[in-house]
Amino acid sequence: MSLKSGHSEVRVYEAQSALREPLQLLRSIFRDLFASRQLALTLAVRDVKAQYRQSILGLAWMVLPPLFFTVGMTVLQRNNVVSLKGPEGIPFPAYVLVGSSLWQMFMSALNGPITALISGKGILTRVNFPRETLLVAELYKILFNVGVQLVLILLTLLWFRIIPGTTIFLFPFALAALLLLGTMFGIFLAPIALLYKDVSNALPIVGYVWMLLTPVLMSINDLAPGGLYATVVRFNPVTPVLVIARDLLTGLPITHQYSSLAVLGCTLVGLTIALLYFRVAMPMVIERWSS
Amino acid sequence: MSRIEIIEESSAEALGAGVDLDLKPGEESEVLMEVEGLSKRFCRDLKKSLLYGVVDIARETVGREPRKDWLRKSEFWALRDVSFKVRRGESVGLVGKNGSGKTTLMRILSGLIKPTVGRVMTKGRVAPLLALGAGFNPILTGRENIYVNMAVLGLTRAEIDERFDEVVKFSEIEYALDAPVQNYSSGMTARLGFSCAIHTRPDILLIDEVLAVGDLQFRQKCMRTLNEMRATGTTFIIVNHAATLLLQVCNKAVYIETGKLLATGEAEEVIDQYETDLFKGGAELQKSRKASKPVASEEFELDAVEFEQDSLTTRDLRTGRVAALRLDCKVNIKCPRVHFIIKWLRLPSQEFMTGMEETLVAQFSSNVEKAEFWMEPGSHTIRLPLEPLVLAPGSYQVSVDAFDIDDKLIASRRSPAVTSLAEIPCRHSAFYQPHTWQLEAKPHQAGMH
Repeated sequence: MSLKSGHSEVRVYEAQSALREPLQLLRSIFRDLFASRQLALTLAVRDVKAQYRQSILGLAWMVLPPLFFTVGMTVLQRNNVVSLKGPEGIPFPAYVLVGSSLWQMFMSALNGPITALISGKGILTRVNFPRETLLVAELYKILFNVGVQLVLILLTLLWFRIIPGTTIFLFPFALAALLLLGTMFGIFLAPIALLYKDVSNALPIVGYVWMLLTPVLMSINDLAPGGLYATVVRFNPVTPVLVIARDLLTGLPITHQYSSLAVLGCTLVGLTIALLYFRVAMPMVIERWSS
Repeated sequence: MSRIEIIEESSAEALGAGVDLDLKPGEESEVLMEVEGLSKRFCRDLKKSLLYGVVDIARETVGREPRKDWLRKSEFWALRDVSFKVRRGESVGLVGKNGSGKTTLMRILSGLIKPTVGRVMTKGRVAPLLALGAGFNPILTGRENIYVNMAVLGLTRAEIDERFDEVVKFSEIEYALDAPVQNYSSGMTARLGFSCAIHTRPDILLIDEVLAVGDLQFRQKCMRTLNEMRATGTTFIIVNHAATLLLQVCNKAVYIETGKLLATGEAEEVIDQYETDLFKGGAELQKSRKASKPVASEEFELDAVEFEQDSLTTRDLRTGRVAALRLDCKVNIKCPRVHFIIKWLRLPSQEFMTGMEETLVAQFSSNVEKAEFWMEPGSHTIRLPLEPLVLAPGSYQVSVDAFDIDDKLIASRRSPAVTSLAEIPCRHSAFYQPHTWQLEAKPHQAGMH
């Protein structure tokens, strides 16, 4: 599949799996990804426009959920309902807002491929175009939303007079690792989610439990070491990436740099495998979907 | 010059991909599509289908391909061992009963789903019209949707900018361009979708049952555009149940039944076979269609039967205005006392109702009207001014039969199908009677008070 067209472009559809030549398949996937960047942008702009055309509050919907969550958690904490406390040197509301926003970014990246494919059913079943385009378009939309949320976070940090250190320049890399990790999980889940509704039904529950196993609201240093819970939290792949992203943003001392580099490396390899799997799986999903 | 004619000229120019189709006899154009031993299995049971889907994905991902040439429980062959070739400039009608595998074939040809067994090769840009308006977002305006839709079909932004005006002109929805597409009627959506698809200038156009939407005038325009596109080297494959429609635009046909290929070849023969299988009355339909083939003799030929309005050959006529019927004749041997019978036929307005017959609405016999022609060898034009045209709105064809001095048929030809539209509404009328309304005061009469 290629977007480049001319009179000589030849396409062959065969019964054999394209995975017989994985390198060639990979090359065509990356070529399509590159060729479809303009289309992905068009689709993303279309969706963002459509999203806000039927809304009065518009962009506010991006920042209201983390804001209310933060206010709620702060009220609970002040009244000793929960015994959470952030690390020294950062007010609890700012800590909760940063942590929960980063978690929300991860979850939206994870949900991204599934929502993109479900809402793209109309064109997926009627037009043959590189299906990866929808993933890229969704990533553009997530980046747009992330941008809006980052504005809220920066305003909050300024409000509490927290000045991030010079290491803030490393934050985009940590953020990229977080989003790519979510996207990778999302791509593996998406084709199955299109066949079985169970996946979409289970996701909110899984997301909730997963959040409790990630140091979103607490500092990892506060955990009793050696316990089962602490071990699970430590081996959770989201932990190092989320923690380092939060450290970089709030100017806290940086930890987890090696483990997050390891997660980033695994994510890039995993993402490549995910793209191959996606390319092979999509035609089969589309045929079951609309037959 | 009427508005529609301007549009046609620009679109015909735009669609001309500049392909040279001048082939010498016996020479064949390049193969644009090749289907080899194609089979596709589907599953009737949804739960099993989903399970097989997951199993297939898992197997293919780990690279352990299962043997494919067999059926698992609840599966059936939607297509079985289908092979054919399509060359540049050919237009193929795909016929078969409901559930025979036509749509499955179209979806494999467009690359949406994979063959289970076999291979499909396509060359050049493929534009699928499997459902009009795929990718239209209901909330966005027509203008925004043109960009999105054509981008999905593979055009760059610069290319869309360049063709945007043509797309809008062809679809004739300028007035609604900035309204959200959810406010469009299905006909308007169809116009926009068709216009977007053809302006991607595809090498291969796949059309599945979508020409039934849209009003008569637009459908006729689509048919004409398809014929123009074929003339400039575009190949298309059409699924439609209306044999008359297929015969208007297709020169080849493929007939499939329960997934198996029953016949391929010249459109007329294959569609005859399909209709014979479909109805007992098939033979009648074929006979009436055969009558529409031009007949010529050694001494006399009818080269063209066309309508003119505003001094231009046209297929969109305006009732109530002056028009003319033109017969172009070629005389090879001197013909004394040639006379004509011209039959005006109203075509069934719904092409998909194959059973409906055309109806005779008027007949001119030149010898009854004492018009006979002494024709010397050479080219001649016989013109019949129609002052004004009185046809009720609809679709028409005229059939012209020429007879020699002994009343022997020497030539016969039908005009292309033309559409008449009334500028003055004449609903509930069999024809348009030209008239005016005049108020006249009665002269005052003495003695009456």
